[in-house]
Amino acid sequence: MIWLTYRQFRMSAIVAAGVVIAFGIAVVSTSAGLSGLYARSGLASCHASCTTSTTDFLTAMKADGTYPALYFVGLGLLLLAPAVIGAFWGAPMITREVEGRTLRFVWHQSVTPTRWARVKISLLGLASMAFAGLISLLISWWAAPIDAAGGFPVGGGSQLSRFQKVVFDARGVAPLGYAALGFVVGVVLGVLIRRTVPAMAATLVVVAAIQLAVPTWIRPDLVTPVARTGPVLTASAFQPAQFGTEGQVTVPVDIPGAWIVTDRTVKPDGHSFSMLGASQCSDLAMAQTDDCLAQQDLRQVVRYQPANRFWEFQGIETAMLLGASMVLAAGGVLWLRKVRLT
Amino acid sequence: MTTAIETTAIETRHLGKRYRGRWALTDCTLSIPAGRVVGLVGPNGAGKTTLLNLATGHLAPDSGSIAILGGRPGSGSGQLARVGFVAQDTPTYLGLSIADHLRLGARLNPHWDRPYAERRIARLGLDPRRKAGRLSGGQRAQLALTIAIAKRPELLILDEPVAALDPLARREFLDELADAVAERATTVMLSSHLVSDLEGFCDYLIVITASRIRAAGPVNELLAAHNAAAGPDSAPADLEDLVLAHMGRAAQWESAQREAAYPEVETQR
Repeated sequence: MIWLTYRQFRMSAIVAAGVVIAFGIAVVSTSAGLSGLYARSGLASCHASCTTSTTDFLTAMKADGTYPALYFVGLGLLLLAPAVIGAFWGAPMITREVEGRTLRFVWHQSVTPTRWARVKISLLGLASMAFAGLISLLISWWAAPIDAAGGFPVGGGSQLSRFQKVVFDARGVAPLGYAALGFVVGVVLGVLIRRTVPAMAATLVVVAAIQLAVPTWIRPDLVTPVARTGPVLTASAFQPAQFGTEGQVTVPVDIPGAWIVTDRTVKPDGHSFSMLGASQCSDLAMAQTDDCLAQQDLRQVVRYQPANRFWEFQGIETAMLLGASMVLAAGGVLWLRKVRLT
Repeated sequence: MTTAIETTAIETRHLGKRYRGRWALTDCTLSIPAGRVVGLVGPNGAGKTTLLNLATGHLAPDSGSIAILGGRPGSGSGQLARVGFVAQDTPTYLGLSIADHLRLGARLNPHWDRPYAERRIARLGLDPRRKAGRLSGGQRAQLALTIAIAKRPELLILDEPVAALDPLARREFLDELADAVAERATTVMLSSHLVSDLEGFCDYLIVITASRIRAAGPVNELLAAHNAAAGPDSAPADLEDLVLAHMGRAAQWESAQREAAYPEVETQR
């Protein structure tokens, strides 16, 4: 059974290995250059005011087109991997055998459908995790200087730290969990839909939805965020503030390496402040608006996950995803046994 | 008589299978001794494939019971190893070579007869490196048969194995099959909608029409009973006459049932 799985999977494995090797070569050959920039900027040795060194390093890094390109290739590979693995390895695992009518052949060797499914899901699931794990290892290692400098700069002074929604899924061990879940979702949808193309399409949609839902609704509260209430905001604090379409006022906050879950401006009664409820401050010139807001006794309340929780979150989320994968895989095997070939 | 004849290969009691409310097979009671070559005949859609899928464990019965070689069909790898199966259209992995298929057979079956499989492929003149997708329908059927026989099953089930083959390939396939199973007294059950395929090949016959078993028994006994009923003046019947007679009787019986069920329709006309 292991041999048959290997034989049927051989071409896919070669393609995946090719991607890993190509990415590995690109990453290894440019790593020394990136580390060199980091060392020359003096970031490694600075302790207090590192702003200049950070800017120097990030500017130099962005000036060379190779580093940003590789940074985003690594990010893109890991964000796309779960859906692509699910659609191209997971879904066809069963649908291709249904369409080729080969289940009647292979399930009549001396192997039960349950064992057939268990071996295939285990081996291909491990291959999916190995692929995502290797890419994650390479990009996490290569991008370590950028992550140490606070993350890739994306304009407006903000940076993509490794704790940010999108980057988090492409660092550490989380990609293993997403790859396993993407693969299993593909298998289960294949069992349910039984036609290759619709099952592949459904897999892409469902996996993308999971990748969107987990960081948005599940991750923020895995561990209770730290809440920080600042002093009464002064007029100068409102200068960089942004005004939302609902009248909300957002004052930028910078907590190094942290993941900002919410950033609200609240009234003395603790409720969110809105320009809609403060008509006296509307329709004024910029400076006057800031002065008017400063008189409202507003404070900034930030809920955030500190930088040192990064690995705790990686661990919890990966365990959760792997657990869900196993439950789903067990369900898929049971369903397969129940449905058989009717 | 050897002991093999005394054991029962296939035993069913009031076996039934329903699809979306319609019975595809109903009230099927059979007791087929081991060592027989069983022909399962009937028109398309009569329930032959349903019966074979119940026997292989691909389907679970909705009523009654079925035992294959004393065990529940498809109930484990041990049971699977004892039953060989060649499905309709003889599916194989089109992307894998003949050698890959033989290796697959060797890896997945405990009693795999490798010398036999290799000898048979060589005798058929097939290149082991050839992909199954590039074989003709007849060659693919032969490959599927080779794997099913090299598995060394006690019971070999074939679902319309020759339906896709031209007449010459049909004869060859059945001759090969007959030779292969004769040495080991393997029980064989194969279905066909063409009685002529089974003439001189089967020694046990099951006639099935409209989801019901119409006749089942050793061919010589069925023929003797048929000839006796026809009277001494008529010519001796062959297998084709026998099957047609049973199907005709079934059709008469059904129209009689319909009339009994809806007498008012008849009187209104």
